Amino acid sequence: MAALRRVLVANRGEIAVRIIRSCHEAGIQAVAVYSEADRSSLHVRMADQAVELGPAPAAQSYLNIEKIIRAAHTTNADSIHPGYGFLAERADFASAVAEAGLTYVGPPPAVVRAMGVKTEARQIMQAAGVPVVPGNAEPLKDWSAAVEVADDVGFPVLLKAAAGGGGKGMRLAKSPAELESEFARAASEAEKAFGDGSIYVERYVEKPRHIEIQILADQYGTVVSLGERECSIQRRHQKLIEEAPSPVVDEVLRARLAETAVRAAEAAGYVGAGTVEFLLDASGSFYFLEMNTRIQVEHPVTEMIYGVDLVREQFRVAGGERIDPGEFPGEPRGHAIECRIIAEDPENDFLPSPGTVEYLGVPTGPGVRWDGGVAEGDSVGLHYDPLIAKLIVWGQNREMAIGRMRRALDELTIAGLKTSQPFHRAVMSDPVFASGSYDTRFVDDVANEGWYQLRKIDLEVVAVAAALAEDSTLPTRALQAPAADGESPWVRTGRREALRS
Amino acid sequence: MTRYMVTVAETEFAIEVCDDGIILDGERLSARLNTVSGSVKALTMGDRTVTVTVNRAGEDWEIGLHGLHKLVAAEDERTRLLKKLAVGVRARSRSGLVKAPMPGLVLQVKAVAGQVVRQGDGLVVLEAMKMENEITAPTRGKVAEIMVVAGQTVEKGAPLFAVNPEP
Repeated sequence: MAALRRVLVANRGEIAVRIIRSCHEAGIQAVAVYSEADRSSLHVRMADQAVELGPAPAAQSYLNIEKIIRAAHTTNADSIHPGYGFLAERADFASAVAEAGLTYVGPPPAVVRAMGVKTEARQIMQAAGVPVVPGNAEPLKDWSAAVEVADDVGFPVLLKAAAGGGGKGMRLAKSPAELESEFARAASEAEKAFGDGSIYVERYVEKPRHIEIQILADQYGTVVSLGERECSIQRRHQKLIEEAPSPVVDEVLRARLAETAVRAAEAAGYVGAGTVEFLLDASGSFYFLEMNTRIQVEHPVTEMIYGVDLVREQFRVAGGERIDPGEFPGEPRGHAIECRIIAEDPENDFLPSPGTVEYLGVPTGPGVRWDGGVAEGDSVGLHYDPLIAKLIVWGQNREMAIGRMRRALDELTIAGLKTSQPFHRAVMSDPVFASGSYDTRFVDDVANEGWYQLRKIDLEVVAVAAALAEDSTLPTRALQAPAADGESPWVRTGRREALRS
Repeated sequence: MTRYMVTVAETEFAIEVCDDGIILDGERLSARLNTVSGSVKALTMGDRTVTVTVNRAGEDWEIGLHGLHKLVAAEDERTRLLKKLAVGVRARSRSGLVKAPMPGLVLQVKAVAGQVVRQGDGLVVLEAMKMENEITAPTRGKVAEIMVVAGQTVEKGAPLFAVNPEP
């Protein structure tokens, strides 16, 4: 297997931009693909070559395997990086790439398939002695079958998509009645998101923390662990904030988690960068949740504390290089936090807020990283994921990282659409978050309307801005005589014009 | 000099705007709103300058500060008086009408006209950004009209249904 020379990036948005950056740093050519809606997007403009796939709907563009393989051939790419989402965990895609004589930057198709069928992944892990959450390991036909399993493991239960991940098709049911209504909805969401409506049932672990271990495996059986990420700040199973290391994982627990994750990766026959997700309960017991056979959205927090470029490592492994465990730090250094800036309005129950980015003032300065996928003028539509960018900070310790994130969020200005920015600002000032003792119920239990109310001084700012804006629209003001201080009406008119533009 | 009654988050401010500043709560302050870029403005108030976004939202202003967006009504006294006379009419005609909070696809309509519903009952399921969102009855009452059908794409602000409140 030879080193990669030209990689086709089968994705869009921030992760496509992120992958192209690593390509260029490694002297690898990057080929972008795009839909009609993304013709002038950032990732298209950054790539060395770019191929249009088709209309905006993902099914006709970013999910069209045939067109993507053809694009790789016409541009002479030798490999394809799937990113996350879209085709990233589709075994048929990984197979098609291999059959076309191209290198798939990720694990072998059989591993993608086995880990993608969550019920099968559970069976493999159980056989390898990896602890799993009590539940069933077979997809269920209907809600009554689900009730049987639920009665067995005890309510409340989580309904999960067998083909799924990322919270899509996942529903909580506290009683048989709830299970009946939620089963249909979970199946319908799963069908839409993954083309497979199969559902299985797991016991709902109370007050769990979502902890995941980053692993990296080469093609020759060497597997290394790069510590944990804490992903418990979630809303409806969608992660919003991640940090590494976890405030509750000490060296001993980290070693146990790492050992289990490596065993899981070995059992799966894993190759490349992957993530083993665990639920950690209040007593310190942990259970295998799933294995993600791709780069994770939140991979940068690991990169910050281990001083590694995970996408670059993916390229190295795909090119056949060996991993030397000695080249990675054994212990994390400092603390990293990531906030997902999404086009949803936290003041309005996180309703989608599509629109055009009219202005983007991005935070910079020491220890701040912005992994963005949009530029000014780009529109964030309804066709794709609402993720605009990931704001990541590094600090020498957790407290400094939180202070840095607070500062970075203060610097961020986005006009044209509403984003999760106020949510992140509130979390960074929240005492429960600061204490580090939180779980996946944080958003439900701790977030409140007060988070989005203005302090008195800011109410005044907002009121004065509106008064001045309203005043600038008064036609009569243009006709007034010069003010007593001798200020020319031209100056005032100019000021008004400046405001209107 | 014009005097404005400004309402934000149920708090009222009386703000007089003069040529070189404002009078807020009887205190004279220098105040300026300069354009940074488009709707992004630098607001100076006394010795503090902050970045805000300023957009028209119907008759109100939507002011953004650190990513929070507040609807602010700023009315000079004359406009305010005229509005007070009209407000009764408007309030009646608007009641119970629910509009799409975001653009999306109507997945399911779960009620019919004439049906009695409770506050919080889901009447329409709207899909946007791959998530299903249930749009609920704002009040207990009788469904007066359903304006959408399943499969229809709607813009933000499109009327979805109306509920006539019943005690």
